[in-house]
Amino acid sequence: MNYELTGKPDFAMVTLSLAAGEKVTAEAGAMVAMSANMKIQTKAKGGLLGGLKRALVGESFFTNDFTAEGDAGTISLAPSIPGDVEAVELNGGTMYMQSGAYVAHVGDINIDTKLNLQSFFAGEGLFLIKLTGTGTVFFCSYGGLKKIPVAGSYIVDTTHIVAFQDSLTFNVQAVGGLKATFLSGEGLVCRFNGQGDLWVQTRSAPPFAFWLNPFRPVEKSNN
Amino acid sequence: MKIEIMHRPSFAMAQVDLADGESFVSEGGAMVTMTDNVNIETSTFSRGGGGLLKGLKRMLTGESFFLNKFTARGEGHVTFAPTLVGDIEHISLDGSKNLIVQSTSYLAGSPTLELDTQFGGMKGFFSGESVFWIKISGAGELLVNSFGGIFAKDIDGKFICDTGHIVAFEDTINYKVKKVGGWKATILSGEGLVCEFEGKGRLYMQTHNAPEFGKLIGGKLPPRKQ
Repeated sequence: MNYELTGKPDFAMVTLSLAAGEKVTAEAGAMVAMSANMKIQTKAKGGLLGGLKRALVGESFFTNDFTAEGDAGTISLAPSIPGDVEAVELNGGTMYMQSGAYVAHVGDINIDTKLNLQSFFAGEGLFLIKLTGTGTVFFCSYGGLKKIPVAGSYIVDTTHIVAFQDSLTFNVQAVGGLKATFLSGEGLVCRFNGQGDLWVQTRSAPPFAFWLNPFRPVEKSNN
Repeated sequence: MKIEIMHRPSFAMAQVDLADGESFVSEGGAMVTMTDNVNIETSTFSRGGGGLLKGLKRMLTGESFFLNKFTARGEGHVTFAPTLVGDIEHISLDGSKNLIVQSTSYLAGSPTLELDTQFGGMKGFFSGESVFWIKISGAGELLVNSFGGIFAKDIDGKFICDTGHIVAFEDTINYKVKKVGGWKATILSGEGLVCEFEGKGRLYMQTHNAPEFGKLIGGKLPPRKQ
């Protein structure tokens, strides 16, 4: 498998060249274009239970396997949101990703969903998927993607987290005292500890949706 | 203090490096990341905050009611980004001129900067367009954000800019909000209200109009309950 990233950094897309019989697994809806010999198979990722967990955290229930049949083939994949795409190699290790950052993977990689109850109840989007195994993972950001090598302790707004290595531990916490937590507009932050790579995005979807809300038409009451 | 703006121009984010004891103030929700030795203080009455009354006035303009003050203990940094896609411009103010900033364009600034709000004239107020301004005075560093690209023009005389495209301007320029032409042009041209500037000073503009974009997308969304 070879791949090429184009359109970086604002409108990134990945194009994979697969040998006959090779397979890429992609987020539902990520396929842009492909050669005619690519065969698609839709699966509930991680079985039914895994699929349900993914649906619960706002991830799509299904992923698609694309296999080059009989001959080599190419496929282009892109996320739904404008921004960057990057690739990381996993060699038997584990990495975490914000749900929504996952685009695709090639190789023997297991995807599991982690529920963070604290962020779930706070209505903040820290829903993580856990990727373990050996292969190449493609992930995306809304806006710019910044890689931060953490050594020690570092704080990130939860909605700006894209991905991080499992050598980092994290806990979700309030931003400061009570006043800051409720009034600052910063909501929950994630404190990372240890040594490892962290990726953040320069925009985040929830505040944008919040900004758009007042522009929606207003429903007239029935009485 | 050192300010670096990255990911320009589409998805700009500013990193502010702070020395021990240095502070920076931002609108609520603008913080992306920070080192763990930075303390956040949410207030309405820091020097830049301007007290409860000014905080209330800020709420009227649609800006966040509260400002966050980030203070480093030892060397640290904070990164800031706006909600919408677009650029960030770093403007250094020396205190000799005030800057009038469109309320949604304010991102962050030095704690030495004084923020005050004022109405952009009655015409603007009744038009339904959010023509409100924040007057920024004092010496310090200021970060403004634009929806789309940002560009500046040094005005000497008269100049016209659509109200939705103004980011900021020096208060050595007078302004008035007016109709673009006759009533027919105002209603049918799609240009709505414009700002007529007169004088000598710098005007910062943005290539895109956020409320127009909001109406375009928001109008297609399912209705919300009142």
